[in-house]
Amino acid sequence: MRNKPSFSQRVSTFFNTVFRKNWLVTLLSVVCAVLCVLLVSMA
Amino acid sequence: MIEHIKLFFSGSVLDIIARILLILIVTVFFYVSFSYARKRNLHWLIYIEVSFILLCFVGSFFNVPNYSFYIYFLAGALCVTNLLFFVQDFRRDLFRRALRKHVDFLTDDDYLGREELHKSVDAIVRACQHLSKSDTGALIIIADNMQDSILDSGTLINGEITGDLLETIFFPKTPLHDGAVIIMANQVVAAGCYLPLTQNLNLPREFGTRHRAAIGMSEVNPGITAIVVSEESGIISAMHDGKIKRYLDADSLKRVLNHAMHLTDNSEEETLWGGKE
Repeated sequence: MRNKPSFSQRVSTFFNTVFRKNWLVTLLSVVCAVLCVLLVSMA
Repeated sequence: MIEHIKLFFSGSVLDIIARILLILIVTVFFYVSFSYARKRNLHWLIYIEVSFILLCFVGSFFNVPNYSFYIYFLAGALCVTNLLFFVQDFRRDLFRRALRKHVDFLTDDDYLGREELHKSVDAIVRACQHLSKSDTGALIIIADNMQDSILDSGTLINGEITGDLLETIFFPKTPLHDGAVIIMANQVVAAGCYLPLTQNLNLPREFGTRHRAAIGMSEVNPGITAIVVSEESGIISAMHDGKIKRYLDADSLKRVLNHAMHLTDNSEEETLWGGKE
């Protein structure tokens, strides 16, 4: 229902969600992704 | 292992970029899966997946026989499990975006002009006045986003906001009249939705289930505004952030709706609802 926000507002909302609101999910995802790619490349 | 990590990030620049891109793609896959798991209260799935990955990582330090087999099995199992568990969420979200049901983050088209929002406000005010005159009960929730469980409890409509549609939905003895209408992104998204009731016991006696559901919803989700038309008295009330405004006439209802649809600036929040607690 919001009026059209500017691109910078949208980018800041995105970063706020990913790195502040969901920081734990982001951290876990990065750790899991790095480990998975490393392990598969090793295997 | 450390040597392998060094090896992984060595090579030509193109190789390193490709590997970093691969990590990014896998990160997005995990992020989306974990977000869905959190939304659906499947925290145990996150714990199991993380534990298995850590276990395999620890296993890589030891000389485990057939280690490659376990790693490939883990990778396959992770993909299949996440896809199986969340295929419906993926599909629903993609479908919703295609239908412009939700306000999309990156798409300009989904954001609405002020003119359309003003038209919708007028339609809601007219409908509420008609419903009030005919002593027809109504519960309208205006929100920026809504829990899926609440949307799923009703019937999806995705229709344009018109006075006729709202009056038809709340017409007594029709299947949808007894729940809440959810309005998001300038659309009547769903009707006949069930909302959580407030546990507050200090409410006036004339407040029925409809009022209690509206207050309950505004307590759970402070961003929303709920409009209630009383079936007994025809009184129009509004709830926001657990606060109640009663005996609304057309002008005050319009002010409340303008605020709910972000057509006013932030100072209106304080004038209307007394600011944040």
